[in-house]
Amino acid sequence: MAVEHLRGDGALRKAIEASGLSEGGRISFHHHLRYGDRVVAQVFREIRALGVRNVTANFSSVMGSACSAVRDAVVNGTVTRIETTGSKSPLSEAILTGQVPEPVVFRTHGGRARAIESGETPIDVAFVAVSAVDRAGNANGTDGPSRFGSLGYGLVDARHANHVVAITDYVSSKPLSRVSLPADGIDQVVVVDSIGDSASISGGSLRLANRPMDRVIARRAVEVLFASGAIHDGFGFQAGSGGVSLLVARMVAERMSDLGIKGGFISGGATETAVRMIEAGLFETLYDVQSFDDMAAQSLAANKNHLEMDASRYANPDRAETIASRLDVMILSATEVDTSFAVNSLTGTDGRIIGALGGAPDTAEGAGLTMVVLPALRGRVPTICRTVDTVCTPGEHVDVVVTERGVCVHPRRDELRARLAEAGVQTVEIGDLVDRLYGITGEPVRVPRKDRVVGVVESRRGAVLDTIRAVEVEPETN
Amino acid sequence: MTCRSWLYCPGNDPGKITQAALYGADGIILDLEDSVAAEEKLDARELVAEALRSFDFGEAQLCVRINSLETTWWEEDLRAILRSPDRVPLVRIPKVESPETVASAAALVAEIERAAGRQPGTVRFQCIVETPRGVEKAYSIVTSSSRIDSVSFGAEDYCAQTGASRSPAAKALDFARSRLVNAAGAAAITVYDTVWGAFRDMEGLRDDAKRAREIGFDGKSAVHPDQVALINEIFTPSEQERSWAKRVIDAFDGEGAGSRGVAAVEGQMIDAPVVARARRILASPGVRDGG
Amino acid sequence: MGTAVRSGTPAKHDALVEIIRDGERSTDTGAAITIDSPVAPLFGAYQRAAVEAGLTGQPVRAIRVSVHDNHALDFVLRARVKAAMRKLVLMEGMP
Repeated sequence: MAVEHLRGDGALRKAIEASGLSEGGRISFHHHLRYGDRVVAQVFREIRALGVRNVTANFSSVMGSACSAVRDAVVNGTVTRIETTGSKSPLSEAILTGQVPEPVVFRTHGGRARAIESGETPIDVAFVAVSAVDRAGNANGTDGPSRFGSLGYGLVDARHANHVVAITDYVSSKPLSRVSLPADGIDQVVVVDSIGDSASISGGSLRLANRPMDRVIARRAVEVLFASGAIHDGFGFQAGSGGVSLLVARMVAERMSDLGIKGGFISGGATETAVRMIEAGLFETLYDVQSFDDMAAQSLAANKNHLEMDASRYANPDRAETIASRLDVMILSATEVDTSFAVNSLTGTDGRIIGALGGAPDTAEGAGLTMVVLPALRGRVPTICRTVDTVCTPGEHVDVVVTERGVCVHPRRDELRARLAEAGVQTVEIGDLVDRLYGITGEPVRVPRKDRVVGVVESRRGAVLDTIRAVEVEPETN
Repeated sequence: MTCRSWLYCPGNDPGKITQAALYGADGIILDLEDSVAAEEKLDARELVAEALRSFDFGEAQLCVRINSLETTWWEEDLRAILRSPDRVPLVRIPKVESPETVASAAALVAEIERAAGRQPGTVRFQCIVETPRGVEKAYSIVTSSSRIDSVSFGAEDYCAQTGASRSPAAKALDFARSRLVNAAGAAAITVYDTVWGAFRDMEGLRDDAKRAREIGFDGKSAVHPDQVALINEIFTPSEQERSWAKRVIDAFDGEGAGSRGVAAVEGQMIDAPVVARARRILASPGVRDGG
Repeated sequence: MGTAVRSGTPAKHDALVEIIRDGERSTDTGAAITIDSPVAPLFGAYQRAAVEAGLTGQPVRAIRVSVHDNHALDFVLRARVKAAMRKLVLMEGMP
């Protein structure tokens, strides 16, 4: 039986009523529309109009205008608990100043999948934005004017939620040739005027860094990668969404092409760079949990070697095998790294919540070689420090840190250090690098925290890794 | 120390100053001349002076290009950049056309050294010869003062005055380049080639740098960080050159040739100047660092 | 209030320093310093010390110093303050 498509004024409100969402309910959203998302705001507006309060909202992440919508939902009492991998302004300021009644739970993508699949964080209603449905109610993210690509995060929500509301702005008159979410996994379809602006799906951390200093860091990273022996036929590779990581990926592709190396798979967030790599035959397969640009969205629809991957297959630590555990090389970015090699990707040196855990802690644990690439100085602020503000990826899962001012190898990787030395790659002790940086900038003072815990950072398996305490924060003006 | 590459850095740009040492250039030129607008000369001077006083540039050799002696700025430039008691940069003097220019600069520097209680002759010069008159007087310029460490060719102004073409490896520049190399060789000082201004044209840079190397330049200046690696590559002695240099040193030292002043390597006579060249090759930064 | 002199720019890694001789404070001997910086919570003490170092030995009677910082290192702050003071001195016709 085809799924009913609700349209017109009041359609979304009717769907929420029909879902049975009530006081204290638990809802979820994916963030595949990234900075172009219009679904989160629309849903919260209708939930508020229905007078439903004290909702727990579980996001795969929150960014762009969705952050304002969630902040407003907190202020008006609709939302009292948030679970997410990351946050940005103005929601971040609301979190840090204690406006969210309960501490926000920050999980990795794999940890979120684990928590949902195990029932630890059940979902009453999953609101799943899809770029296209057909008359039968099958859905995907690769057709329609608002296409965004992979539904990797949304699929886990849809499979385990009690009720699934698919929200779209495009109904295909023909059956969809590619189905991500089959009709039998959807309870209701709501057709709205617009789910978002797909031109804005690439933004934020997805900037190809290409200044001279970025190239210095990337060239150094590539030197380390090839000297390490981790790049070989059949290898599994992933680069994070930070600017220098993407540049490293491009340079790796060029060197692989020169040396005739063919990789096994490339995974994670799919970008134009990754798509070009499989089109050039440098890798066999691209596993896509999130598409960062329209080229990736189109490739997912058209290239049989470009496969959608849900967050559980990607990185759920309860699974016997995940893509993350098969990686040979993982390139991460970070806001900070400390002398124990712990990585902070969530808060800045000044304590503001500006990023996310993402999948970095999942892939860092799984990969054979985990490399963090970042500039040692961001303006006046040293990124290599004595202690990070928030531990997101434990130091024991990081192998090497590459900056423009030095390469640091984790003490437990003596054999890697030896291999680099043989190849003429100089390394420095991370403590010495910190001293050198503080000699240039002065040692930064840590922002004083209040006692109240406003955020909890979970490890992949649900243990508390770190906490975030309230601060005095000036609201952002932009 | 002979530098394969010298990276120009605008003297009024704090961001560029703090990053200049990170691109692998053997030398950094903090510029007070062409990259600084007239209304910013005072600001740039103070910024460069403070950077010299307290910023860590790592292993890079430091040089400051002051304003030409035809301007009203050069004297204040010298007073400011020689303020630091601990770090004395090489002073790059632009548009040197005669020994008299060098003498004027040397006179003021001597006064500054005396006032600071510094050993006379501590401050060294690198003269930029960039006009036809300067090229004509090359030898008298480079031998006019014991302060002269090296000489550099500036093609942009030279081409503007002569009408010569500034294309990569332009034959039109061979005369000027060779004359400078010859003068530097006769004076036993280092000689550096001009910049290649089209910083996106890496092929042009490669051709221009190779020609400079063939003529006998020891290194070349860069206007953009992306040019440094290529310039270093071209001016790093090759494996063949290094191996030849080692054989020469071994033969000269090994045969006790010091007293005779001559030895033989593979049927070729080698004497002090050849040995000096061999030692320079082995002392090149690229060779010393194992590159 | 006199005429303001400036050194530096608002660009990243730089600081825009404005100095003005405040006639209304003619009995004050020192400098009134304000520093506006996105990294003040982290480096405020260093920044203050650098500005004061730049003013050392200068004719600072009744001056107002406004620093609009954008991640400048200490040597930049000192340089910009010294350059602005130099411009003030030249403007006022002092040696």
